[in-house]
Amino acid sequence: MSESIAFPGDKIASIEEFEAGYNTFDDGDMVRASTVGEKNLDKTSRIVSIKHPKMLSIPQVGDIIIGTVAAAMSSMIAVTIDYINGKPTTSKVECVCSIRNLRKKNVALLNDIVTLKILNHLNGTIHATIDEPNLGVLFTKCRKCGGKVVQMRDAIKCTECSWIDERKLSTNFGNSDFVHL
Amino acid sequence: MGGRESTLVLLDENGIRCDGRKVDEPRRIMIKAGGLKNADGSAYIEFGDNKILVGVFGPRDVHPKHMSNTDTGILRVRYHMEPFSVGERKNPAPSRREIEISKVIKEALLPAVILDKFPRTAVDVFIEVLQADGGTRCAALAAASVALADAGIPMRDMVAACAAGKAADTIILDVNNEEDQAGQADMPVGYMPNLDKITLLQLDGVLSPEEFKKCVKVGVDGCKLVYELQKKALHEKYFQNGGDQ
Repeated sequence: MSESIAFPGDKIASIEEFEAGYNTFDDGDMVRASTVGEKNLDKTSRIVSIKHPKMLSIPQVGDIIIGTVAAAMSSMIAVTIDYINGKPTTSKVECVCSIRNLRKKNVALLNDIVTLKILNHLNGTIHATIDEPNLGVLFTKCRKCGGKVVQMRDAIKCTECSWIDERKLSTNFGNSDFVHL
Repeated sequence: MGGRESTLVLLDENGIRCDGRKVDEPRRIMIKAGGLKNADGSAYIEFGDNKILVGVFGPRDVHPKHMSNTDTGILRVRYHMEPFSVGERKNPAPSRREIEISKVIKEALLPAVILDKFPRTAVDVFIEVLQADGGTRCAALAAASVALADAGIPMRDMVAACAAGKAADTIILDVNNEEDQAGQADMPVGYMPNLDKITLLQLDGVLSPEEFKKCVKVGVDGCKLVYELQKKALHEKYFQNGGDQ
């Protein structure tokens, strides 16, 4: 087997030579592989990592996710993750997003489809942000009649009952109908 | 001494066992990684006449929610024998033995799997025994380890497994169904070869302290053979055939 290939538990380097990067761990003496894959020894940053072809269903910091709002509270929303960087996932893991700093009455409501950016993993919870122009609600319906809505600058207007509502809309709002979700 | 009364010759005068193997020879082993499209990771193993399929799902949301752990992910294992896996039809409901084997396989895999990166999630391992012929827990553990690696779940090491035992007053490797029924002892061993740690050790039977030490050594040697086949299976999936997933 090639020397560039690693299996879980294989020694890759000593901790004096390299730091453990992605898909590796150090056992106090050696840096070892934690997944199957190809070794990548970065001799500039002295970090060793393993490239595994499969993506885990847990988003990493900086990933863009698309999900369904599972709970909407006064200062935060909980979102069930459906896509990570455009790839579908079936894990149904949830992340939370603070909406305290947004001066809007309704940032997103239950069952809205939103896109968020992962900020960090803290205290066993995945934290995300919605406070960027491309982030926000991608798809929603009228809260009064369930009809189709259209964008009116920062707000949405129902085409059936003309109800005007407020949301934190993404710049991509209305570009997809999300029939599969 | 020990074992059931049987007319079966477990070991002849030439040191050949009832199925034609030598005392330190394992059965034919074939492991294949992948195969189940809907699972995150999967493996199929043929260990002698044992045929076992394993599917791994996760890390994913935990249901029921109260089972989740805020500090780490959880590992859930279900070992199940198909009704047609043995000669006489087996009731498909989980038996006492299946619940016990699910527990020991979970506890054998836990030292290897790194779950603290995935708090509030679960990794589910489903083991389906399609055909049983003695030593299914070792075969299932070896296949589960390959399936976890196939799913990309971070692991400290692979867990290889092989049974050792005693029949006709001789320590033997890889106990088959006849030797398990009529032999004197059966010792399944789960082993992490790179870290040199044992994660599963059970003993059904009576051994002297010297026999116990020899039996553990024979079991660990068998695990090292299985480990090479586990690596070969993963290598074939990821680094041959153009890395076909």
